[in-house]
Amino acid sequence: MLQPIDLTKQIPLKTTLGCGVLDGFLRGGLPCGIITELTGEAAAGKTQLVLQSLLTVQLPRSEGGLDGKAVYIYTEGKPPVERLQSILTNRFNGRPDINLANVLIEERPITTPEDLLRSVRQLEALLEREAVVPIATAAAAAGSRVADAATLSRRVVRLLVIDSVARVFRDAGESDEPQVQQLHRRAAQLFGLTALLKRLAQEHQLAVLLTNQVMDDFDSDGGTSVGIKGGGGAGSRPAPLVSSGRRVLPALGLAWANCVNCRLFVARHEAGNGGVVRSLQVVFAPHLPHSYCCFKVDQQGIQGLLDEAAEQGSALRRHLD
Amino acid sequence: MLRQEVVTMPLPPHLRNKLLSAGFTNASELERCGGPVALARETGMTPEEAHEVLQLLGERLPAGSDWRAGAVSAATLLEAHLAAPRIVTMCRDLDELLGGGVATGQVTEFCGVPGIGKTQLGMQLAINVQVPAALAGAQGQAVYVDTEGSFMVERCADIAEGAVRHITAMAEKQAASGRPALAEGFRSGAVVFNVASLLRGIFYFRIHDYTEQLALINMLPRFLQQYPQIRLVVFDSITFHFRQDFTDMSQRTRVATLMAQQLIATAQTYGVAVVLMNQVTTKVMEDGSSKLVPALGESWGHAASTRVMLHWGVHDNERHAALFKSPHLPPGNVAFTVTADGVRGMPRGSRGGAGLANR
Repeated sequence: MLQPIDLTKQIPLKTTLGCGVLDGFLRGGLPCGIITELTGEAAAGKTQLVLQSLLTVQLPRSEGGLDGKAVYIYTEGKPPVERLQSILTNRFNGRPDINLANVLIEERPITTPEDLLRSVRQLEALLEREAVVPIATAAAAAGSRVADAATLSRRVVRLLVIDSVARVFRDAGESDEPQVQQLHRRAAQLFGLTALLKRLAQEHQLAVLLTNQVMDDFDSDGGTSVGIKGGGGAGSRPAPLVSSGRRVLPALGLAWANCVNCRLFVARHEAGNGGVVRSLQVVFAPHLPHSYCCFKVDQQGIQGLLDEAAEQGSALRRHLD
Repeated sequence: MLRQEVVTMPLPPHLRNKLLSAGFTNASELERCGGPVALARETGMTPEEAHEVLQLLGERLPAGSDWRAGAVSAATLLEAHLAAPRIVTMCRDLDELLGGGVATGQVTEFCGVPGIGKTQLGMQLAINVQVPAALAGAQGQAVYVDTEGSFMVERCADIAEGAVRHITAMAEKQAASGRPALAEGFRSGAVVFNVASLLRGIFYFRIHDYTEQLALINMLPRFLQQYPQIRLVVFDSITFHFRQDFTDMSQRTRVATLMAQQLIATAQTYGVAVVLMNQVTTKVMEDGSSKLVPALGESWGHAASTRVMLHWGVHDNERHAALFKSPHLPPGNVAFTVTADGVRGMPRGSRGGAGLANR
């Protein structure tokens, strides 16, 4: 029998990104119970953000983490374990509570939507057992010893990262199938995957973080006609997304956009002095206004920048205002 | 005359059901209940509705006019429709577009792209349905059916806070112009309108697949009988779970049609506003251009008597609402904003291009 949920007893859970500026920008960090998408061009900084989150979810509640483990499904070849190790060493040096053993990595190659669905269903089984049955651990992959079993058994999975969803779905579809049918089938698969992810996110209070690629936005219409145009034109989006001086659109179209709860756009911009400025922008979110935050990437990972500190920010503001 | 049964009284169906749910079976029981305020309290009606019922009773002809039993005159229906409370959006232009606000007793659909403000509007309506009758509010409660997980309680609390500030200010204005009843009601605690009470006034359901959705729609009539204060049911979104699971499109159409019929009947019987949030898809036209259309296709088009498309305007970050179907209102298009406090009208004197929302 369906029962209403008492809203006054709901405590919104978030996992920190490890940086006070970024957490403040996101009102606490990555929310549990919903799907957050990180979209942006290659080398904008998506994977860095993602790798950092695999570690920060392990932080104790007192530091904004969820005392949790992370699951990392990487679809673009070999998972970047060395980079993960590097952030761990530089940022969380010597902390016994943050380690690669708490990051479970899908070992088998994920190339089709069916592979991905199967992997998520396995995660569902794991969550239900609430036991540690690592598919593979980042620690083993990096060749180091697995951490203390007692530490492992207290933690449950609190973060799921799929990096990226686009890769798996962009190539989907047999070549002899009509285009329209391919799109329909892909949309149905996307909705099916999303429904499963959202149910897991809500039932087990997981933060779900998915990355997506971008395509060039060829719709150069200045929006002079009044009317509700489809595709990427004016009417279907608030303002163009710009990265490296080009207009871009998140991949997988409108169907996929309907699946995510929160869309964050990671972009890079050339600064006047030849440097690079990076930004994290809210495209839509139920709890955040349209806004952006600059950040930098270094050996220690991602660090948000306050407005005053973003000396190269003027180039960015020209793009965004 | 005093033996007139409630079931045969010429009342709008939702009022009749309220009487029956409260245990009134005939006219003499109504006479004894002690006036419209007492009747309202016992049945969950508004004082205006209770007054209407008792007035009808006073005008009843002696037995012999039973031919009217079960039938309602067109005049009564019109009166009931005009008197039916509306739920404001707190954007004056949008309220005007809708003829004063979202109508109870009907199904209204809002469709639009992700991020345009469907969930924001849904939350705003779930808060605004609770506005006290002294400010012409519906003074009711809401059911919120969340199928996508976009309902975040912290955002709803923001919107509730914004509404409390807005309503408190209106109560003060009333007091300043010689009607201090509401402001005094707030002060004394007789009228409660704060963030906690507003959140408690929303019955929130989280739905994970289409069978749960259908089960909920089936149980809704019983739920509304159990909680007669409910005046609004929001489905956010009605479409999400129908965009997978169905390989057979004709089966999907059948299920969607059945769902629509049940929702229309529920809205009419219980006098609640049923608000459906819908997604949009891209339709490629014959000339190769593409258009945004409501999801679920043509068969779903009959579900709602009022349909509004939310879309981005020509200038960056400008939100619009376009009415494209209504029982009696002309089509129109207005601009609205979403601020830290919720859905609001455009600031006076601004052209749009609101840029970053204030926080």
